[in-house]
Amino acid sequence: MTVRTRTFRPFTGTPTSPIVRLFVLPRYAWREVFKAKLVTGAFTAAFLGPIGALVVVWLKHNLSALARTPLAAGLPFAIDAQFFGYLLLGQSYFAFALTLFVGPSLVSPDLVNGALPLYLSRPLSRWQYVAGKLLVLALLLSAITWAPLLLVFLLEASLSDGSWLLENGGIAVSIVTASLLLVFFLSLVSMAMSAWVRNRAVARALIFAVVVVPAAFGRALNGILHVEWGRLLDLGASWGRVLEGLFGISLRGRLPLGGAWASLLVVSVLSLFLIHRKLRAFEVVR
Amino acid sequence: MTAFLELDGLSVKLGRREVLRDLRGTLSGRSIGLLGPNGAGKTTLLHTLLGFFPPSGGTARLAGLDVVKESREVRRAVGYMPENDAFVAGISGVRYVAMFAELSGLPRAEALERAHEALFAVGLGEVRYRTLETYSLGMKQLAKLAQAIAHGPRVLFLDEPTNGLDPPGRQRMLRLIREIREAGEIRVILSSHLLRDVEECCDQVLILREGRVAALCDLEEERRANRRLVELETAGGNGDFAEALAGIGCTVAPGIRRRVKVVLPEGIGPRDLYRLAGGLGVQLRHLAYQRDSLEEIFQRAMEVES
Repeated sequence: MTVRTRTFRPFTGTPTSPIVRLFVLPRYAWREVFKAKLVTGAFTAAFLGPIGALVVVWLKHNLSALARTPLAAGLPFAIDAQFFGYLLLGQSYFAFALTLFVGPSLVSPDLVNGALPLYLSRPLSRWQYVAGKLLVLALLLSAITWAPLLLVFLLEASLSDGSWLLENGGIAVSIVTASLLLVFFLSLVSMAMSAWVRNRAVARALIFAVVVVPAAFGRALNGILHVEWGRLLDLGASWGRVLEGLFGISLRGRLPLGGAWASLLVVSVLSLFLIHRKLRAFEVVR
Repeated sequence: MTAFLELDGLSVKLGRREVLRDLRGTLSGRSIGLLGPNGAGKTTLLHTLLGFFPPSGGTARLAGLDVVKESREVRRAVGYMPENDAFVAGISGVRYVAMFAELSGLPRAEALERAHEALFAVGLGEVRYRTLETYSLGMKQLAKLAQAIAHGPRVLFLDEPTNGLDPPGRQRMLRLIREIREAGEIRVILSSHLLRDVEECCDQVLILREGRVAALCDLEEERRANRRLVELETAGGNGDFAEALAGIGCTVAPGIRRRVKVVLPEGIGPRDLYRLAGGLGVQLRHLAYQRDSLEEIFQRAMEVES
């Protein structure tokens, strides 16, 4: 049929399922997201760590190749929970950077340009819209956190004998759990900030501030009052402590684990509340 | 004709303010106009039908669907063109229309095909690959119309579609709405504060004032009645013309300065009047059908309310 045909015919086919419709939002958003060279650059750079880890794991099991490197005497560390913990910690910095670039451009433009009534006049609920937008960032961050780390884990498991997998099988669960927690937390905070201030630049600054300012304030409290709980305001430290708890390792934490969980939970609930209040087709002025 | 929009005591509160109060009425036209001054509640009514605001009382049914209990089905059946700017930043016209068609449940390929069709239909075919930010105000209005019709809705909600358009743009938009209506596949609900827009495009009108139904009228009916009511101005003759008119079944109401208002019976048209006047040597210097019926109805509704 020619596209010049002037028709106003109704759609009589079978409508797509809600799951398919949910993925329409990320599909259209990604194309816009990767138009920014900075995002493409950061996303590419985020794979350097996992690629390096893959090389290390491969070298560990190829002694002839290892002999030709400065690590001829053998790897100075084991491929264990600590290794994967550090790797995920490193990836979380990239995840945060990508959140700063991508997060604010997901919801703010829709609010500023009045697009929300158009989305919500479709068979798409408010929370489906939120889920669709969260997926944009969640899938992006998944691609640089649990997905490549699982690949490293699988490579090590396949190259080692069965005993390694028996001893370290729980690491896979820790990788996925900790990564999904990070992805969910960052996506939620960025969406809440964008919905709140509706301006990309301000939202970006606010996301940065949410992580940095309370951390500095907490450190000041610790210094003045000679306490330790001020670090609970440091969301980065809280995330690190939760990661330690999930991997069963100790990296740098002096924070109570329960407190770290609680601080992430409080910020997540506050973010959900903000999203609930601000992401509406029309805001009622009381 | 079966009821298309049924309002049964519909009330809506936004905050503490009651914006719609006890709306009642049944409309069955192909094209329904929501008319009223600014702040009358037209847009709130559209938003309530779309499920954006929950009713504080009463019910509403659109195309047989309860707008609260079957909100998702209602939204699947509706194409909505909002009053204000409504765009997705950074994407081209065709991607904008295709995306919303996909969100309405169309498969990807069909959504894209229909996006092209819709943009050609509204006259944006040549600019469909340009980003929306580069569109003029008139083009943006047309793009909003395209996204509202691309997925083939059964009902089209148009909220002040001619807002901000210059006269040619306005005429073009009204022509498109009439074409959509006349194509017969889509029912139209048009909200406007402009009498002309409603009069040109609608066959039934719900007039709102301060959140209440001020009047509900069938324009088609009015037009039919008006086609029977003509105003004549005559010259010459000796007064037998009025009697002759009565003789062929017309009802004649004398006016001032040789003007008369005549209600024509079935089967009598202007040609018969000219023939009759010619036979009596009377000149018909003016013959006009009653016009601006909606304006009169609107004025009456506003006066009755106040």
